[in-house]
Amino acid sequence: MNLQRLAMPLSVAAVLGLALNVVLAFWVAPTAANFAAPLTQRIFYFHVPAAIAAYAAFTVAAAAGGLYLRSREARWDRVAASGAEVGAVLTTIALFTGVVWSRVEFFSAGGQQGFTFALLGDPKFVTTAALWLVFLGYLALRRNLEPGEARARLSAVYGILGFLAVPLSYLSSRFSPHPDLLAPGSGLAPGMGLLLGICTALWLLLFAALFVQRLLLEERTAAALEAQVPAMAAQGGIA
Amino acid sequence: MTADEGALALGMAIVFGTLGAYALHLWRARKTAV
Repeated sequence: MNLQRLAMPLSVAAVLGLALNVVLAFWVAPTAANFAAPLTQRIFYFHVPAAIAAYAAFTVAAAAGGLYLRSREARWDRVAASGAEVGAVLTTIALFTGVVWSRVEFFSAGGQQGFTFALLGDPKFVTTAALWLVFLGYLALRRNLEPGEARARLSAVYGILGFLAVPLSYLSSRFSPHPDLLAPGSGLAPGMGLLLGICTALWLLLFAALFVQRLLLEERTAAALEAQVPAMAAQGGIA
Repeated sequence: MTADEGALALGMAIVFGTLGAYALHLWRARKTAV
C-alpha cells in the first residue's frame, strides 16, 4: 500500500466530509425536542462522532502495540504512535465540546450553581477525561525517551493498558446521567440516528486522513534518523 | 447573542480550532522532517 499516494485524496475527502457534516448538522438535522439549549444540541453531530473516531484511533494504537510486541517490527510502533496521537486530538474535541454543551444545557434548564459538581459526578466525563490524560501521558512518555526498542516496547505496553480506558469511557453512559440520545423516548427525532451514522462515517474518514498524514511524518522521521546513523558513524560520531 | 448561540459558537471553535491547529502542526512538522 502506497501511503504517499493515498494521503492527498484521503485528506481532500476528509475536508469535503467535514463540510458535509456542517451542512447535515445545521441545515438537514431537525431540532431535537426536550433540550433547553436546542441550538447547542447540534454539537451532538460533532461530539459523538469525534468520540467514536477517537475510540477507533486508540483501538488501532493498542492493536499495533500488540503487533509490535509480537513481531518487534518498528513500523508497528510508528502505527501505534500515530493512532494514539490522532486519538488524543479527537478526544480533546469530544471532551471539550461535551463540557460546553452540558454547561449551557445545565444553566438553560434552570441550574443556578453546582455545574462543576454535576460534571465531576458524571462518570462519562470522568472516564473520558481519564482516557484523554492517559494518552497525553503516552505522548509525553514517547517525547521524553530516545527512539529505539526500549521506547517502542514501553509505548506498546502503555498503549495496550491505556486502551482499557476505552470500554470504560464507552460504557460509562449506562451508569451516568449522561444523555443517551439513541435510547427510545430520549427526544431524538426520527432521522437523527441516520444522520449521526453518516456523521460518524465522515469522522472515521477524517481520522483515516489524519492518521495517514501522521504516519507519513513518522516514516519520514524514521528514514531521516536511519540515514543519519551511518553518516555519523562514518564521521566517527558513533563508536 | 444568547447563551445558546454563544455555546454553539464556542463548540464550533473547539472543533475547527483543534483540527486546524493539528493540521497546521502536521504540515509544519512535515516540512522540517525532510
